[in-house]
Formats: sequence, C-alpha cells, structure tokens
Amino acid sequence: MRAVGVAPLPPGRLSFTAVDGEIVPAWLGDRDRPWLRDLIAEAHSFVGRPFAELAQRWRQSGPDPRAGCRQASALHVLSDWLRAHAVGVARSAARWELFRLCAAGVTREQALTDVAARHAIAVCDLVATLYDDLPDRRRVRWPEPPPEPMRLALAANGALVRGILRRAASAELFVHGAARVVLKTAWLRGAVPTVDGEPHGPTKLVWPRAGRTAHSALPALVPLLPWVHRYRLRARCELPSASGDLVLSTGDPLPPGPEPRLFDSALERRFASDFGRLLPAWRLLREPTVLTGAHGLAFPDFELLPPAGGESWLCEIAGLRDRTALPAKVQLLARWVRLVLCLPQHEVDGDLRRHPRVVPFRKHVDVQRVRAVIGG
Amino acid sequence: MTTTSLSGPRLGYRAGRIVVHGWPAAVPPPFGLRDLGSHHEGPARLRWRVRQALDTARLPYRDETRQHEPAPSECRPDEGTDRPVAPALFALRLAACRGIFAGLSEATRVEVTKALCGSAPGQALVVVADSGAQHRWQRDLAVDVRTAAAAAADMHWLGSRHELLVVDAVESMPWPVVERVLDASAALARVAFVARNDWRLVSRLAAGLGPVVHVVDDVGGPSCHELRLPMPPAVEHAYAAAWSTFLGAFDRFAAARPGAGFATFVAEMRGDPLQRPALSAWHQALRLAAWHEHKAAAVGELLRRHRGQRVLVFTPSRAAAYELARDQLIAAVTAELPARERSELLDGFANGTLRALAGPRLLDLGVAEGCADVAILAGGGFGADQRRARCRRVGPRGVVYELVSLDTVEVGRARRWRGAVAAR
Repeated sequence: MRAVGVAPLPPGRLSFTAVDGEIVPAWLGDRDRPWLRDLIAEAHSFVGRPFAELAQRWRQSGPDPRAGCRQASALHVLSDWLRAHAVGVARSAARWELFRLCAAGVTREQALTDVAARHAIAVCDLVATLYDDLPDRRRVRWPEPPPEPMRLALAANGALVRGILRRAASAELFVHGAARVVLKTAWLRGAVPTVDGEPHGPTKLVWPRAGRTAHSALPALVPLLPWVHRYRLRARCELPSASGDLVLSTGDPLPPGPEPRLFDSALERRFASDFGRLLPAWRLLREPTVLTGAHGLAFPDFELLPPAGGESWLCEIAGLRDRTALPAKVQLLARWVRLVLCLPQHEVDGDLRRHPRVVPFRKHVDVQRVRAVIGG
Repeated sequence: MTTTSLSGPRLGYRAGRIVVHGWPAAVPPPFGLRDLGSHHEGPARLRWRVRQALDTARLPYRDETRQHEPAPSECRPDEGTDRPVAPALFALRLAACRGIFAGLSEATRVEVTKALCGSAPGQALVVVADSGAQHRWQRDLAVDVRTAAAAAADMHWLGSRHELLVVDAVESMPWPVVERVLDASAALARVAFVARNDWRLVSRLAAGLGPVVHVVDDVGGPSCHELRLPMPPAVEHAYAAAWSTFLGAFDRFAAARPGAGFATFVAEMRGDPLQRPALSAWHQALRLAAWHEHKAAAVGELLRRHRGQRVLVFTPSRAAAYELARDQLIAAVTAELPARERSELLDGFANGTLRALAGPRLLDLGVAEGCADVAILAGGGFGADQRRARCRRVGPRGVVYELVSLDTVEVGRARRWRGAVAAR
C-alpha cells in the first residue's frame, strides 16, 4: 500500500482517559482486531461506489459496541486511506464548457448533447458523473496490499497521539539514538528546542512554551519515535475536555514512519560493517546524542558500547567536505575525552598527528586503529 | 377523483354553509363539519377540506355547490414566465391556490388577480374595503368587485357563485365582515392581499385563506420577496416526525431547566447518548426543510424568470448546489472544487462569461458587492450576518428571493434574521 500521511485526529474524536494528571490514550491493540476486521470488510463492500456513500453509512450507523469511542480513530484513518486511493473521472473541462454554453443562451439539452459528444460519453453519463472528480464523489478503490487490522490499529494510535500533541502547551523529550533526525525535524518545523546533551546518555529536548510552533512540530516527531533507540516524551496538553501530561515512551504501540537512512555515507556503512566483524561483542548506536560546543551543536556518528556495560566511546567520522568544519571537530576532541575523531589523512598534520584519539584514514576507517584507541 | 359521480357523498350549498349528504362512516369529517343526523353541515369555507378528505380516501363524490356551472377541477393560474408575478403565482400554485400575499404593490395585486382569473373572469369575486377601491379595481379588471360590507350582506347566496375569492387590503376591513365573507364563500381558490406580514392578522386569516405564501419587503436596497413553499407530502411527514422527536426531548428539558437556553440544551444533549437522537432529529428537520423538490422547482422557475440576468443562488448544502448544477446547468462553487476551477468560475461571473452561480458558503463573500441582479436564498444559513452579506451581493435595484418552507422553523427564522438585518 502506498504510504499515505494520515491527518491527526480532530479534538472531537480524541479518545483518552484523564487520570492522576495524565492523559492516557485509548490505545488500539490486538483486542480490537475483531471489530477492526469487520470495519475493513464493511468498507470493502463499498468498492466502486462513491466515497460519500461510505462516509454517510459510517455517520448514520452507531459505533460498534466492541469499539466504543475508540472507533472514531480507526474510522478517521481508514477514511484517509480510502480517500487517498479513490479514483475519479476528469470532469472539470466538461463542466466549464457546459456552464459557458448555457450562459451563452444554448438550451440545456443542446449544451449537454454538444459537450457529451465532444468528450465521447453518453448524455446521461455526463449528467450523472458531472462532479465525480471531487473528493467525496470519487469511487472507492481498494488499496493494494489491502488494509490489515493491526496496521490500521497502529495508524489509528499514531493519529490519536498526534491529535493530542497538537494541543501541547509544553514538552520535553529524552532521546538516545537517532537524535539528529529528531532535532532536524523539529527545526524544520520551526520549533527549536532547548538542547541539553550528555556525551553518554540521552539528549533532552525541551519546548518550554510549545504554543503554535509545536502545533505541527511535535506531531511530526511521532513517526520518528519508534526509530529512536530509547525515548521518553512528556507533553503538557490542554484539551477541550481535559488537561494533563501525555507520556510516551519506548515500546508504546506507535506506527513507525518512513524508514530513515541507516548511514549517511559509504564510509560510515563500511566502518559499521568492519566494526561488527572485528568486535562482535561491542554494540554500535547511530547518532546517539547531541553535543553542545562553542561552534554549535555536534552529532557524533556512533556510540561504541563495550560488552560488559563499561563506559562507552563516541566516534565521529569526519569526511570534511567543508574544511572549515575542522576546528569545530578538533574542539570536540578537546572537550570530550572519550571521543574518537576519524579524519582524512591529508587533513591531519602537526599536533593532530600525535593526538592519541585521532585516527587518520584514506579510503576507509581502519577499525584496528580505532580498537587500539578504545582498548577493545 | 371525479366530482360528477352518481354515487357517494353529495356536496351542496345552503345559505353560506356547505351541506354534505351521505358522508362515509369510515372517513373522519374535517374539523368544523358537524354531524346533524341526516347530513353533515359546516361553514362553506370547509368545501376544500371536504373535497380533500374525500380525495385522500379515494371516494367518488358529487360536488353540486355551484349549480349553474361545473366547478373546475383545479386552479391553475396563468403563470407565464415573463410575468413579473410568476414566482408568486408559482408559490400559490404549490399551496393549492390558497394563500396570503404581504407587501405587494397595487399594480402587482391586479396583475396577480388577472393571472388567477385566467380565461374565466366570471368565476372570480374581488372583495375590497370601500367603494373607492371598488371603482379602481373595476377600472383595471373585468370581474365581479364588491365592497366587504356588500359582499357580507349577500354572501348567503353569492358564496356559491365563484371559484376564486380575492380579498384586497384585509387590514382595512372590520374583522366580523371579513369573517362572514370568508366563512360563507365556497370558493376553492382564495387569495388575500395584506399590507404587511402581521402575524396576528395572518394567523386569524389562516383558517379561511390559507398560509402566507409571499412576503415582499421593499424598504430600501434590493426588494426582498419571501416565497413560502409547502413541502412535498413525504418530506412533510418526515419533517413532522423529526420535529416531534426533537420537541419531545426539548419540552422535557425546558420543563426541567426553565431558564436554560437552546445552546445549553444542545451542549447537554451532545453529552448524553440517550438524548442524541433528539438532536439528530433537530438537524434532520432543518435539513428536510432547507431543501426539497419544491424548492428546486422554485429555483428553476426563478432562473427561467430571470434568464440573462446575473443570478446568485445560495444553497443550504453542497449537494443542493450540485443538484442545481446538473438540472439547471449553473456553475456550483463549493470548497470541494479545485482552487483553480473555483477562481475561474468566480472570475467568469465577474467578467460576465457566466450568468449564474450556486453555492452554500463561498458566494457570501466571494463575489463583489452589488454585482448581482438577483439573489435566491434557497434555505439553511447561519444567521443575520450571513443573510446581510448575501443580500449585499445584489445591487440596490436588484431582487432577493428567499425560499422558505411553509409551516416550518424556517418561517420564524427568516423573519428574525430579516428583522435583525433591518434593525442595523
């Protein structure tokens, strides 16, 4: 099935429980499989008919007793999927011709006959399908592969959480791993957080006054969270019917968004592969944290985690396409004592050549030399 | 149903009263028709109700009310789309030729009466307030014109001689005289002209003349014509059922919370699953009244009447706009349309390529003020501000038609919104 972005749930359809100052989303899970399957089957029976008929059916029929208020989120997601796949016939040009002819004084019958002949369709078909290209009038087409109950449940959870987060007044997020993609997304959405990074622990992103900027930024982070090694999000939400903290953490049933790129370069991929082969007991964690320095923020490429739970190392592989970035990298080296800096050989000169934590490389990073630094 | 059958009930006229012999036991008599043992009897104005009851029961009957000429089976005013009064006559025809016109000019009253008389002016009786008006009407129209006092005095024999009763300037006549004329006339088609839509007066007239079908409000700016259209029978029943469901809950609420307003009612009903059907019924009733086939026909009639002029049709919903687009081939402008097509349509109307547009919301402000000749407010709406915005699309010499479903919540709402707009 083509990836379809589902809109966050509107406030009136949010289902949650407000208890002890927390907002607990009404998660959809395995127990919901029966009614989700029936819901999908009902939608399937409308294939080939206008989407508006299906929407009307859903509006008129009451909620499934097995689902209760949780049905709203599933309906929202399923209708978004079906809307995106519905097919319409192009009628815009025919409409314009018809209305112009009629305004020019041509009789209805004559105008219909002329336009129908020009578009090679029957007059009755033209009249019946005059607006069939509009979203609600498009015919339902079944997505391929077909919707599946658990996928629907996950997507509904995602839409629900994003709907709640749209009402966030403030938020803080701890991430360990995939920090750069999370921060980049927040920046691109205009919500710049306060960053509090530790070299060997989670990064804390804080939005003290989320307001309008976080209206779109925080929901946009939800599809990224399942890709984060470990996370914990606490957002103060002011909903029309309740207010409290929404707490999300690793393991919550959220749908993962599009898969982020595993490595930024072939150099990193080769390093990860060699490292795994030579030091199988160690673990690699991509983009573990954010480091703050005089030159701004830095995102080490890897965290190297020893097997016995000892203190980990950070590893930065700098391709240095932009040579002006070198001072910032060197400063990182000075500031963080457990950071290994891999630099292109031709950029390493003078003091750097003698620095114990600088690993020069030509075409690929020699893991043996890194191993010598970290003592693996 | 035939009116010359040899068997079944027989309708006659005696001294201003209708007499029915052989009333079928299975059919309940209309309210006001009394059982006197050998026959049923009531005011002559009940003639149409008697005929309606027998027609509904599909029973053959003989109507001998008019002894000299056979009664026409149906009143069909000569509407003629080029007549300025065509929309008003259309509304009257839908109301079975019984209704009240409010605010019409004198010339228009004569025009309406002419159209109603059609090819048989001898069957019409025009009742006026005094001899001055009698003289004027007789000069304009070759029909039987009598003053109210004279007509009331002769109604005991005159009442069975006409099929059309026209009462002009009812507010200028003493009520007992008007009542006597209306009660004693057996005319099936009845029309009254009143200067303004005073609810006290029209509610008294309703039994003898029918509902208000056309209200003209001509105070500055474009002239406003309110056309009150009856709903089709099936829609009427559905409306009544929905309204009853809503009222059941609302009455209980009003009894329990006398001071609370409608907004509180809606808020509380939303939160209570048991009461939600009442709220849905209210929405359904509004939806039914907002758009039905009689309104669609009326819009078609008005579009024909104003062919070539720049017309905006404000519909209650997108579906109604699409329906009009299919039936009348006028462009629908809705939020669903692609933005480029929407702007092309609005530009087309602005530069004269298109002569008519229909839509539920976007036309309220999407068209420049004063650039339309005619606006048709087909139903629905969101208050006085929206109504004012819509009316301002029409130039000062233009016309605004407001289509209102008869005997529904729309009647009062239209009056309130119009009053609120006029008060500003």
